[in-house]
Amino acid sequence: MGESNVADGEGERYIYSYDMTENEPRRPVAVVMPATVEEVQAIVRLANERRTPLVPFVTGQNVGGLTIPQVDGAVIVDLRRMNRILTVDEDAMYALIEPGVTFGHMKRYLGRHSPGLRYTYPLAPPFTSIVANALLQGLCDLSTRRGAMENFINGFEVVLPTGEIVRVGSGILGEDNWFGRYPLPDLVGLFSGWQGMTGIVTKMAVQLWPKQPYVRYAALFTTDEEQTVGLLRRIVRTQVLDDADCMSVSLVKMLLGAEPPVDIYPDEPQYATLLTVSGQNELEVEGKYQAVAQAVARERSRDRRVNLIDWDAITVLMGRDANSWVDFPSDAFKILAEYDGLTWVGTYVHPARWATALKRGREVVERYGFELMAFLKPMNGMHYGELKFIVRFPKDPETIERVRQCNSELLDVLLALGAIPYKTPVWAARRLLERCDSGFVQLLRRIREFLDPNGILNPGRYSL
Amino acid sequence: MTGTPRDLLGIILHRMLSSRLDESVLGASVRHWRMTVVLETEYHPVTLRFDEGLTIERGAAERPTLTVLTTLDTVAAIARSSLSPLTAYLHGLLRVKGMYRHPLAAARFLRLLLSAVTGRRTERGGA
Ligand SMILES: Cc1cc2nc3c(=O)[nH]c(=O)nc-3n(C[C@H](O)[C@H](O)[C@H](O)COP(=O)(O)OP(=O)(O)OC[C@H]3O[C@@H](n4cnc5c(N)ncnc54)[C@H](O)[C@@H]3O)c2cc1C
Repeated sequence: MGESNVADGEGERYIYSYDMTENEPRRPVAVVMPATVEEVQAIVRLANERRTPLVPFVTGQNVGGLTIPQVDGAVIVDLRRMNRILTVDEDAMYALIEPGVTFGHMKRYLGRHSPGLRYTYPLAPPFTSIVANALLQGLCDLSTRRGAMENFINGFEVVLPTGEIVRVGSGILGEDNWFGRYPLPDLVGLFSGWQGMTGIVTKMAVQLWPKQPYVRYAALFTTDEEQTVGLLRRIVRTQVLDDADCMSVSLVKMLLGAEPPVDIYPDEPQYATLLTVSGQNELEVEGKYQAVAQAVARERSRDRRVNLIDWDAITVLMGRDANSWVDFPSDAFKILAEYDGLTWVGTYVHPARWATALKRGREVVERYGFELMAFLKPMNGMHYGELKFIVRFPKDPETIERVRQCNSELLDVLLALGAIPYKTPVWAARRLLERCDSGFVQLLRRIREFLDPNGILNPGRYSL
Repeated sequence: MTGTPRDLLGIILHRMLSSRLDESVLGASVRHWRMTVVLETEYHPVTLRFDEGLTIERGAAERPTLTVLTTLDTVAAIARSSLSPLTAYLHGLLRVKGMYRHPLAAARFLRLLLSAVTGRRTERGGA
């Protein structure tokens, strides 16, 4: 790899020892930055010989402490140099990418080379990894329609913890054939959701979609949790939306530049939801928009504090910066990085429990004196939702402790509602595994031992 | 403008109006206004105090010069030009209490609002 791609200096060890969350830091012994699959393979083989723990890493922006080593003596495998977009297949509409490819890269590349196609983008900063987020089953600006990002994986190449290179998905029949995962035993599940414990993915085929020429955004303002959730469910069930991001109105105020701490008053809108519809022509988009408007009008006839505001009006009222809020991957959400600390308890949750989850979580956050930043995204056409409570905080010892207690209570509230934590830190995984079906936990352990007999990949992660 | 409001409506008004007040000609004349305007919407009232500049506060001031009654929906429709302020007024979607007693204040305030909306539209067009 060359000396410049291996580091064990104090500076590097410190940088890779922590992330923005409250999770306890731990220093790795070194950092390596491979550029090819062969280099990754060589690292994994050597690690097996020496029994050296490895932690795959791209940008460490997962907001779950997921790249902090859980054991001493670990080596970080930083994959950011593997940043090539290898193919864009216009016919089957997928891109074959390396793990260091970021959302920002992809958008720029498609804009230049395949302007008729689009990928899908999260609220995350543009410099974060697509492969890592897909493996973490993250969410993005098509998730209300199409679900978590794992759904968009067509297959990948992966270096197993024992050093073999294997493929899953239709790419098993060679290059230029990464069109999908079926009909096959679906082995993507051996690696997705595993937080880098079962293999290092070195190439991934991700689905792309035709870029719709007409897109329209609107902001929906609502009051309490019951109303917000009820209306959101009715709107999403019309199936016309690309995406819906419902957030505490504090987040809008932050986007508008409000100084911290940002409060929410009881007599102002409590939630704002960004809605997106798209289509081939204006007529199609207008039809979809009207379906949304009708659902809103019914609610508004009961409560005139419900408002659907078209983005043209939003940019006049809130300024043209508002365009950057919907241009994903957006830098606008750097508001969350106001302090050095950022964390959340995020879950995927049954739609019948959204309102209760929002209310109970809100009580917890307010009791701990943090700004309320709830976020709810209906997922996969309304089959479930992503719900999280975000906390930004200064990293002093007293606040870190308060954050820990707050998150711990939030998790208990959400687990009691059957919510499954996502981007799960070790402490949260431990609590999930204590409560869940014991056969599932045993199966997890058996799979992990089978794939990684020496326990070198990300040991301790997911409390396994 | 002094102080930064902490409620959503106040913040929006602050952002819309501050860019206008920074603009030299209008800004200079606003500094000489002495009036209090309460904006009542379907949410909480907001008070705009013009007194050597503008302060925006959450809640309704007592005995304002003007009380403007409207809805966010109407303001949004004006913002995206699907409704003119005059049509809104004629249809009772925008009412101004105190207008007959303080016609100059009413004219000034509506001009400022309109200028903020138009200014933003121009900015947007140039984006
Ligand atoms: C402000 C902000 C907003 C965000 N908003 C969103 C959002 O809207 N939606 C969303 O889904 N996420 C969001 N995120 C989370 C974040 O962007 C993603 O989790 C991130 O894209 C993952 O990429 P990364 O480069 O940070 O991965 P890392 O943190 O480096 O890695 C994440 C995990 O994947 C493992 N891993 C990394 N690469 C590989 C590999 N090649 N093979 C196997 N395992 C690997 C790591 O070991 C680790 O467990 C947000 C983050 C921030 C800071």
